[in-house]
Amino acid sequence: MNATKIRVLITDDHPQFRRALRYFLELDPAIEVIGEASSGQQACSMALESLAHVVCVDWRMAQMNGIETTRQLIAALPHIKIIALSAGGKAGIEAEMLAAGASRYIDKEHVTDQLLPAIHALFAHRELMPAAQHAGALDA
Amino acid sequence: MRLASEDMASTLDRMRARQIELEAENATLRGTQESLEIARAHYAQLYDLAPVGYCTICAQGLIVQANLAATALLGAANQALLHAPILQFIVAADRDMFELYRQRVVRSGAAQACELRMADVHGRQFWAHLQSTVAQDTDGAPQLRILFSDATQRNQSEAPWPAGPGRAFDDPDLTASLLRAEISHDLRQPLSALGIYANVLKRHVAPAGQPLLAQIKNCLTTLSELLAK
Repeated sequence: MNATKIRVLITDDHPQFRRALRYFLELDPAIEVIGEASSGQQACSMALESLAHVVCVDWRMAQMNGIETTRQLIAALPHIKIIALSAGGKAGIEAEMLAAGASRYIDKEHVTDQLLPAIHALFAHRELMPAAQHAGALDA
Repeated sequence: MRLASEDMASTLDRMRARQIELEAENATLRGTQESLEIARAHYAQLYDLAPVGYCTICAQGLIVQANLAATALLGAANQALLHAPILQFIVAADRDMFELYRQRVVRSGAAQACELRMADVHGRQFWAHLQSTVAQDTDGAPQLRILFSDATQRNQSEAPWPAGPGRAFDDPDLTASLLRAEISHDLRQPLSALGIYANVLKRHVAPAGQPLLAQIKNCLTTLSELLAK
């Protein structure tokens, strides 16, 4: 049954937010949180190892920010879907994250309303995305 | 017939005169073009051989033009710099500083300076003095023209290498903004986590407890709004 679950990786440098997000996501039986990364570098290596379908990436992180993390994730795993998160979005962040390759942008205040529909929509439409064969291979 | 041949002669004269005029105009245009090319080569040389780094970044933060001093400071060939994100060359601790600085320059439209730490492709860190102005590309899209130089020696003679973020000069509010952004960010994280827990709790709390939960959410919203100011 695990093969049908949506594998989600959480990337945020704040442990309390990561824990809360994990708790919230794990209430959805269709989702498997495959890990928590506290930095962009860790997210890249974990996404490669765990074959995540969706990565939630915080915009503001100390070592490598969300924009660079998104660019590197997309470069390494073109099929992967990135959901950008930001607390108190500043002008331009959404555009920059989307330009870097994120599929969605969600303000952390709206996570409980918008994140699950976004994850399900991205996963449901992944076969329409450019590297669908890769994503399909991950489920095999 | 004689009239027709006179007309023809007159037309030929006019055409010859026009030809002379056109040739003169053409010579003038050629001269202007040559002068422009000489001037362009002169300014290109001045740009490339300037003792300070010049680079232009697009709205997405990618380097679209860089001179020789910039390539020397960043330790990369010109081609390697093109389309590379400028943040790649800014030390992680100072990236927020740069983002705020960039936003300030774009908003104000005026030249502003700051100092922050940059790193070349080999990881060598240096204090860079930046002076930036807003420009537009040929399509009218906003660009940032950055003039930068190595200020490490001056900074090290003033004080030991500081652990905190870089500093702004022309806009004294910039460093304060950075500090406020840091505090706001740190406070928002547990606040966002509380918001998630409160929303999940809503499903489990009995009807009698729902008004209390609504009050908790109101408090969270108020705190969030305060931080946004």
